[in-house]
Amino acid sequence: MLEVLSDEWRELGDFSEAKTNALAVCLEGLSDRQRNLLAIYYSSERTTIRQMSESLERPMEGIRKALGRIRAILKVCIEDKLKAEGYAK
Amino acid sequence: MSEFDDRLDELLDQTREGALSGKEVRELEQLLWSDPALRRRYLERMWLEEKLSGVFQEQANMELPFEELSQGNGSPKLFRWGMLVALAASVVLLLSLVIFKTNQSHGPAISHTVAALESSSGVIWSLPPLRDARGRLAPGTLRLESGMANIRFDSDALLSLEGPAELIIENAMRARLVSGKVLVQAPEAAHGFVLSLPEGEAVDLGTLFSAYIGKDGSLCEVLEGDIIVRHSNARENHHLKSGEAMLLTALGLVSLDYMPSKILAPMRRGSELHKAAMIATVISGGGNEDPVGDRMMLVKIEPDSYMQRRALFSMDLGAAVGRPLDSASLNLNLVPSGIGFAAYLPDEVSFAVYGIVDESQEDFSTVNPKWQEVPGYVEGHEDRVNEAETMLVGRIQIPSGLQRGNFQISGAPLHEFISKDTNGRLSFLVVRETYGTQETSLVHAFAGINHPEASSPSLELFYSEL
Repeated sequence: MLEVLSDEWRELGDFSEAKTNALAVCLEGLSDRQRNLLAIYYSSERTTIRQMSESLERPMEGIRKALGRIRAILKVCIEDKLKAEGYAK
Repeated sequence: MSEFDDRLDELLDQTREGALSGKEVRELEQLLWSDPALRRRYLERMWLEEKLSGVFQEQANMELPFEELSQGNGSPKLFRWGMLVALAASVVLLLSLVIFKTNQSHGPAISHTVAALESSSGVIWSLPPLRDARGRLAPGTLRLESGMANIRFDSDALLSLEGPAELIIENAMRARLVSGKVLVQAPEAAHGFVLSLPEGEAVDLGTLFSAYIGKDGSLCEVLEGDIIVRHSNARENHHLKSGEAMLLTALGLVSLDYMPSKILAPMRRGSELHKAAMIATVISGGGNEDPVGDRMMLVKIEPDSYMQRRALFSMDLGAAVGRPLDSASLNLNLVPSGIGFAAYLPDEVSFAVYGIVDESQEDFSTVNPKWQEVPGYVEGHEDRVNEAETMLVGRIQIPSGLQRGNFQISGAPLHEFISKDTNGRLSFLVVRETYGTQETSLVHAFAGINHPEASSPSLELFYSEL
């Protein structure tokens, strides 16, 4: 399994620098609320969805979905940027 | 998105939080084996996780703009990506890799930081906060003896901690107040910041509130906006609005119909201050040259019986007599007397403070009181104190060069002395216990009723009720 994943990982990393640049631009395009949610979750490795649920008084599932939606927005945005710059696969 | 996509996302969330069971690890492996599209989704997610963690942890540390994200694409990150690929293999491996990754990223001492000390004033730490090389604060306990420290969390919440206080920084969205007082300011971005308290927690909904931990519980007071106060035992929630206050006790939540910070200092509503109403300097050997009147009380001990000086003062308790007392503090202000030389003193000077237990002797004269008529007198031994008429309530020890300062006496003997009072008046005698090395050694003085700079002796009584 590791071997398979490693190969596919290398393939995925082909446009790594362009993707990273695209992510930076896409993050700027998020709303403050979306960026804030990412910041809370990712600024510490210890932050859990359960903690965020208690702190924000929102259901865990809602937070999980909100993070999933933001990641999906970023994914689409990155793909669009890569396509626009001729990196399409 | 298929149900397998959803399940994969769920398993990856659990992986990140270290909550994946052995069964779920096997399930994750099966999903990855079964579908190349899921493998791609998994790898893309891992890439994004790594990037987002890097961005927001670095941004928290350095406040880097997003544009700088593109830099630092060197081999260490690629190495970490490679490690992340192995996440699917085993939870044990995952754990060791995450630990390794953390050490690679930030060094072994402080793995991550969540706040910064924005400003401080007169701080003395007995346990300083954990800081990284840039001075940013890591999760952990800090103890502030005195002064004020403003701590800005990465969530943008600002905590103003007033010493003495103990605080545990948990993460960017949570801190635990163990003792003392704190003011919490949470702008919109920090909505949901949690301040844990011994009996529960306060959740900030974008506001300004204070918390104070006292003997009877934790006091929360909303100055602006709203908070939610939650009790840990009863799972009791209460929405507090601006101008409202609540006490969290071991038994539950108690609403207060007043704002303690606007009326008196928090948890000190049951305190009273009694200032000395009568003061005198008592001089042995018929000495009657007291030039200081009621501005100060002079204190000195001599090897012979002439010109010993003792301070005598009393205060009226009024309605306080018989109330159940929680604690007490006797405050004295040392001031320069202008008489004698500190150079003729040993390094340390000690004073004893006695309470006068014989209430029949409390009607002393404040004008030239006679040595023999003042409680504590021992015939033929002017440097001794009659212990049958007095009770030692505390001692003050100072370096020889010190001639100014505020000193407090508290503790069980003072408490006992006050509790025994029946006539509503408390009288005290202050004697110096340390002899000078020369006859012209310094005469010490404590501020009297009309001292121009310092206040007269006072007794603060604290009652257990709010």
